[in-house]
Amino acid sequence: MKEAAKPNHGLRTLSHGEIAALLPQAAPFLLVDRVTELDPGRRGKGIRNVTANDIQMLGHFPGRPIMPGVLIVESCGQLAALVCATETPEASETERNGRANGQEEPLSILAMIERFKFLRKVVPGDQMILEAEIGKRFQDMIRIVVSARVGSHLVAEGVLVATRG
Amino acid sequence: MNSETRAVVEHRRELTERIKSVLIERLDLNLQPNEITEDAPLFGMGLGLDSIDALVLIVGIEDEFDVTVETTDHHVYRSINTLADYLMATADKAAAPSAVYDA
Amino acid sequence: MHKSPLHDVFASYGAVFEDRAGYAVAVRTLGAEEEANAIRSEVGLWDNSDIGKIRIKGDGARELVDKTVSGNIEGLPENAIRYTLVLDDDGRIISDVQVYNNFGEYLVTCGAPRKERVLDALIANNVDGAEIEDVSDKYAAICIEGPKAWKITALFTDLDLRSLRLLTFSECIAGGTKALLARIGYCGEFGYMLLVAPEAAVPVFDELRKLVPEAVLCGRDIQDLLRLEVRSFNLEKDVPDNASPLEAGLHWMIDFRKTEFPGRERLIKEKDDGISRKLVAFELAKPQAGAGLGAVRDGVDTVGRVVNFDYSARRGRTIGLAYLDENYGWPGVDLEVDSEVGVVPIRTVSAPFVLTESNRVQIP
Repeated sequence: MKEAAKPNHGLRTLSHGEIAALLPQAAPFLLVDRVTELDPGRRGKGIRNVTANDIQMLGHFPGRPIMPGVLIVESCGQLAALVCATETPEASETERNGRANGQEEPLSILAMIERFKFLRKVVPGDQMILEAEIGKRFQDMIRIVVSARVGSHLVAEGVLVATRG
Repeated sequence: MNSETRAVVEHRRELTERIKSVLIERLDLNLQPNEITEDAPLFGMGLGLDSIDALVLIVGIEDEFDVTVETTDHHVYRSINTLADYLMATADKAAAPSAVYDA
Repeated sequence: MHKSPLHDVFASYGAVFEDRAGYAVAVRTLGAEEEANAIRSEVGLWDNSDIGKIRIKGDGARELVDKTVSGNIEGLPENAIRYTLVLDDDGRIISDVQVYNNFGEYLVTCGAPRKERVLDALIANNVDGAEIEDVSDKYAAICIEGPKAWKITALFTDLDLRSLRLLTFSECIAGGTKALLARIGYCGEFGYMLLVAPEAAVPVFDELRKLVPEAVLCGRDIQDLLRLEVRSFNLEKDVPDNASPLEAGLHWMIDFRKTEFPGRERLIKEKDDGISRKLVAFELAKPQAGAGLGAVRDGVDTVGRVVNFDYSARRGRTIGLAYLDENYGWPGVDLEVDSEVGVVPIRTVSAPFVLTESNRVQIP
């Protein structure tokens, strides 16, 4: 059962349980393991551990598992959704173009991949450090600048537009 | 034509060309500048752009002109002309008045 | 003279009728102010049954329509409407039209006076496998427009108005009858046109009035002012003297990437050479009414001519459109215009003259 987003003044991290409560996604499509830094509504940093057991790795590719680029996009998008889901009502009020019915759906639908680059292969054993920075908002949409690193290497970066489901 | 009118016209001509460039480049439109009407709506009727395009356009305008565009003020990005009105009003207090900016 | 199925309803409401292209059109009901206020603040209903409606079907239908109009029909999705132009070989406007893609069958609508010429254009471009049929008498058309037009949604048993985006349409059941509802909006408000069989027109109309008791029945003529306020194209006023669609600012109705349509050659040339005059929005500099507007002047020079003007209560002054020399054709220019009382100051502006209630909502 998903809980409504609570005000989170000064919250710095999110555990897997808190992530599962905030996002509508569920296994096997919950792609952020932990949030390590959180500035609600502004930016966040999180972790996605890549393992040979990931179901999508079995087919991509058999005998040569590589994290699919689109799932790196999804991981980054989910981190962004968490950054927005934890916004304080005050902060989001001034930035949001209010919906007529006042209901807040989670930010969970990809509206646009403005650009994305995949710079290095991501393989089992890698720990992706994800970053998301919230940019311009428009109606229900939010533009996000994202990146993923493994160790000191930038493995992917791009700009997404996400909207409320 | 007096010099004041000439200045206004030149300024608008230049702003319009720059706005059209942002529109064409950022939205990857298959259009030449002389195929776009300045006064026609960009969204809904007219060019028929959608809300994702609106976001991309606004970001492009902010980058190109170093301004902030309040996304809740729909009138600002209704057309190339209204964008130009906004940029002139923001950058230059003595800018030309438009239909809805003066009381 | 042709009469609409809704003629008597409007007659008993007090409408004044005029013969327009052989059709008795309700041109005025309660008066300009009340009709305009209704459409701008509540809901207005008017009878559009006389509009030309042409159905094109068969395998060649898309090709025929695409060849005949200036806009892109190949890429027009199903249930979508394209507002575009039929041009002659010289690139001059025969009519503005709306093209509906009804799953491979096309409906073309246009003003009644232009229907015959649009039919001729389609016939002239005819291809194998396309059937053209004038279905104007097979449908009554009810227009519903205003910020509260969404209230009509209760009329439909199977349609959620929120899912009907601008310039799309849907077949539906209205008051128990098969109908077609298009979201168009002539005057810049939430606007719908409902097409029903002529025999169903009166019962459906009555049902509508019960659902929206505050709706005002309006005449045709108030459209001119309301369209001008949001700079919607007015075929009868905006292109005199064989003005080019480019001069009128209708680039968006033309698909310049299309390789074949009547008038293309001249349009491309005009575009590349650059146009020498532009249709520009203007208003009186002072909040007042103006009459008999004519030549536009910059000091001693004549720089243009007014083609369309009217007093707008919402703008508090007379507004209009004028063809101006290109080097004056930009918003923010102070000029003067000849009027009944002599020369009065004007200034060019950006459209729209009036911010409509309906436009204060999200982009579709």
